Amino acid sequence: MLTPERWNRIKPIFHQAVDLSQAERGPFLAHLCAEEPSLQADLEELLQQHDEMDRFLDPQESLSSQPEGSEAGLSLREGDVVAARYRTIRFLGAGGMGEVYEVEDAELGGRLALKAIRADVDFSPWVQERFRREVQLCRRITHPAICRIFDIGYHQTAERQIPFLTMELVEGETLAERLRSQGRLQPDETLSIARQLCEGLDAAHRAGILHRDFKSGNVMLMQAHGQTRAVITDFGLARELGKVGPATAASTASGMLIGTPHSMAPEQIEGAELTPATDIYALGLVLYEMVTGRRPFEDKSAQIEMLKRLSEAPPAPSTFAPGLDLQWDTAILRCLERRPEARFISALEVTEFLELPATSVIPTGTGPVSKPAISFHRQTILAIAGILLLLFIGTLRGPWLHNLVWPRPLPAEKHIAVVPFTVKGTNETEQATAYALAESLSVNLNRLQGANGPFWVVPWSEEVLKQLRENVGHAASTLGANVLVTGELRRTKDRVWLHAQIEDASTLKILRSQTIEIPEAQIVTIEDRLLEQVSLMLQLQLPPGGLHRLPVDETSDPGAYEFYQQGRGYLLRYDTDNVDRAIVLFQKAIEKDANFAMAYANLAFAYAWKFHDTKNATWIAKARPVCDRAIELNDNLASAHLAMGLIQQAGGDRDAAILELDRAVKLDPADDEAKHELSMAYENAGRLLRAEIILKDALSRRRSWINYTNLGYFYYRNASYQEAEPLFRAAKDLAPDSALALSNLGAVYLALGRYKEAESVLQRLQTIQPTADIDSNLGTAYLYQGRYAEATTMFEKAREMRPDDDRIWCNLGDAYALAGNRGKAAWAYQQAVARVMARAPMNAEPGLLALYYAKLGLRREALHELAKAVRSSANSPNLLFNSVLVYEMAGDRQRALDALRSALRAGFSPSSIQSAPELTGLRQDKAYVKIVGDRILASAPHR
Amino acid sequence: MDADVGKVTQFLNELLHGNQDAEARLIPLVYSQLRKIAASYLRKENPGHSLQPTALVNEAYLRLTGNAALEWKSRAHFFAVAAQIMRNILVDHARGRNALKRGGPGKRQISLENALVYSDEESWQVLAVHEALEELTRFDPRQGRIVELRFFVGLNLRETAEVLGISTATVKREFSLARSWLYGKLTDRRGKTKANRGAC
Repeated sequence: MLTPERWNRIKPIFHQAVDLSQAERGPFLAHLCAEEPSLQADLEELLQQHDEMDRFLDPQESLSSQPEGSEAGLSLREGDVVAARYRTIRFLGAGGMGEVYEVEDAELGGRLALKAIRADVDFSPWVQERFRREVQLCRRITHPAICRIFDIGYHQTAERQIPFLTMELVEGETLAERLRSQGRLQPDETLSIARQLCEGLDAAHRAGILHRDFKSGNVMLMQAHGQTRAVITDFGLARELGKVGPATAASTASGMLIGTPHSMAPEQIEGAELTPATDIYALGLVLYEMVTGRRPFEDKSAQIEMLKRLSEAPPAPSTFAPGLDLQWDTAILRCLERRPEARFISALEVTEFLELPATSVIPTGTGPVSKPAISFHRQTILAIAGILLLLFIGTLRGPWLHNLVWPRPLPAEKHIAVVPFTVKGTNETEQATAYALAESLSVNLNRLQGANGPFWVVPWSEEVLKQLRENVGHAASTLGANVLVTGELRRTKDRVWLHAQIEDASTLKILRSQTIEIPEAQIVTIEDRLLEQVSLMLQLQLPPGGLHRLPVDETSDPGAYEFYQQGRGYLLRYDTDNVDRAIVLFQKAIEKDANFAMAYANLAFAYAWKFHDTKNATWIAKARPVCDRAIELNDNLASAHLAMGLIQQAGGDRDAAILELDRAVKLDPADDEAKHELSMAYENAGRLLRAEIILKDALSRRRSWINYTNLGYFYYRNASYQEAEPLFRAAKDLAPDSALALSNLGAVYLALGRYKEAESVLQRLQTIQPTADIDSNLGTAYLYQGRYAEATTMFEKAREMRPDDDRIWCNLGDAYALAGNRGKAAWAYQQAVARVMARAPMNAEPGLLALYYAKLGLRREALHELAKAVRSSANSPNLLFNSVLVYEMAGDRQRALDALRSALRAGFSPSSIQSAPELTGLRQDKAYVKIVGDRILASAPHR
Repeated sequence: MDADVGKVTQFLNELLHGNQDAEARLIPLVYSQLRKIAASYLRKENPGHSLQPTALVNEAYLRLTGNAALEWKSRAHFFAVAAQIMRNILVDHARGRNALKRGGPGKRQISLENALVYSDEESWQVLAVHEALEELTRFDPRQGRIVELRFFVGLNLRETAEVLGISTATVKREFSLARSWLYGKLTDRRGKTKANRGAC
């Protein structure tokens, strides 16, 4: 019999495991159920039952109450009013994903087409969201050759909710039907249709939208005024709803292959990157069909056709259409080049090419009535094309072609730093938006792993940001970046422009640039567009569907989005004022859109930060429900789980924190910072091995200096200085001027007793970014080498920079004492004591106050404080070492030796013990030699 | 009856606006109506005739709301209130049936459609589900409730989510786990024979 407690442990693991593949589950369960085989067995059984049960006890939503409507298999019947607005007039036809009806708009009048998504199409909230985004993008194209999309809606019937799409009503037949019934088309009509299709595709491409499933079945032909109007339908939508039937393991590949095998370009078949050239290939196939009445490799088997498209050059269209002008052969075959880069660059070029030698291209024939009009039209177009062409050569096309054919080379392995964007003008909220946009770009670029070869993006830590803001010119050496992404945001009343540039990090030469223009109302698409354009410039491949993993997915309310973006901008500055402002902005975003999951997640983050800042537990209490809400709204939101992990961590629930962080890492495996948090959570729970594995794994996936640093810091914290040193060194080699990398290396050299090396690293660091820490560490290096005067100078410098730091005062005291100035030493120690007293007890390092008392010769106070510290905190190597010092100075040799044993066992650096001036006496003790002797020989060979 | 119609509509509205007391006042009305309809169905029933709980609840709903055009959420809440009652009616009836039909067919996999079609040979299924559900409810009341709503009155994901005040994603997840567990409980897997506790 299961208990609720056990069930509550099973549930979260099950929910995560169920989304994994069979192969992934084993290690996942083994890892989470480490010491509990019975828990693992229960989960394995449940998961197996899950896989076996099929539709057991699973009501098909459509089978529920009322059978009506399903009689004819149709969702709607004549006269049905959809969403209280559209009256169904008649059924027009069925496509892959839905049924199309002609409807009358009761609100605005007029007739439209309404596509009702079929019940068996996977329309989970996830797909729904992507679908919505795709429609949003498609609405940006207005072109007579593209079927206009109006809106998405949901119609509630007794049995199900029918998602639907309204669009322009295009009456006529599809090009496919026409070809089936009449065979190949007349040349004139072909040219007219081709021109319209090219212009339509080009308009879409310029708006950044691919069709992805362009084919004769998606072209409608309407007869109007003696002419044929061609309209492209189903723009960009096919992909989103390609997956029919029970949801399979969400693979983009299956979505693509369900497309139309007859019309897929080679790169589409191979699952490679899709570009406008993909649509141009499909255009070539359609043109081929129009002039010959057949497909180039027509075969009963779609598979064979597909294979031939991959491996063979198609026969020239004129083979099947004798008398066809050479121009058509050339144009079509160029569209059908197997390599995307060999095809026409734009769809417009195809029609330009076909129309150029107008008189010679089109064989005269028994033309239809409309011929004169078309030729007239053609003439004018020709003239305009001529002028444009000249212009292109003079201005646009020159550099553009140059860029395309001989672009300045990008580094083979890109190390990218996204610099906070600037704003034209001084509006402060704009600054926040610009900031947040750059951050989102940085995070999203970082996700583009896998297919793109080795590359990494410098994460936006506080340290990095400081560098980027203050001295971009040194990003190459401080951050190890070789490419910079910069941007400038400009805004008018109703439009936003973002000019993005790729620069060489060392020379600051501009390698690529691009301006993105977005109408105010579509501001929510800006992150997608930015990612799209920048990855294009960087030649990074966007995974299919990659654009839709963005936070913007969460809202369609431009106002809410604006507040959210500004909030992000403030939050990222991580200081009290800015985080407070961020909180207000996130709250406003939520007010505007109560279902804006990402806004909730960020609000939770901000609260969690407040807790860290103030240590006031009410922030945790506030954060929790907000984060719950984010997860409830979108359980797949990595950042919501990350925030929850941090909150649980802060609330002291380590296991829950681990589960949440683990989930966040699963959802967004590219997020190395989340991995770092997860590792810390394991470390806090005492599972060091696990913590280490995670960081090692992150490093093996991405050898960025941040990952070297994270792993190195882990070893450093756990006093494994020997392991930490090579990692910090590798980080420094990648980012030779990074203050963080240098100061870590300096610190580990100090811990290892390699004072000379520490000294040189720290001196270098001083020239880059002088801070109190560096001066103090350098002072320590001098001190240990017996150079007391230099040490005193350094500590005094440090003290001036940070007068409230008790540790610096203590170091200064040590330097005075060793230089023989007892009076000044006592004064410095007293200052140290006063600084500790002035601080909240939880913010003081345990044992330090005791140490200062001991140095002042206040034995009783020292022992009393030490006892307090030992009682109230865990035995860290540092505390144990402080105990050694305090006991020794208090004259309690026996306990000093005991503490020494413990400190060494906990991993405290033997070399620090060896060189601590306070322990000169202790080192003479035979017991000391016995305890420490071997270790020193083993661990400090460099001295 | 007319008085009931007004009351039911009013209680549903209150329930929708968060007044949980309304549920308590709704139950007796739904109960008596459902009983009446069920009884008339069961009287008319001939061998092989099947009873669809969803249709039955729907009829009660139409009668009690006087076909007023209420929003879908009201319907969902009505069905939720009816679910427990419906479950009792079905189980009572199945127990009566089963007493006569001991040693009926062996355990088979249950499909919802079959289980809802309340015919002779499958009456045990209702009982089996009912009892497994009682066990599930003991360690996870919410999952028990989700299965009840989905299984006994056929609420869809969205309606279930509305009634329980959670997201559809959560309903989906929890329902999937509950089904996995019930599947193990209600079917013979790996040759394990489980006692046919349906025949009590």
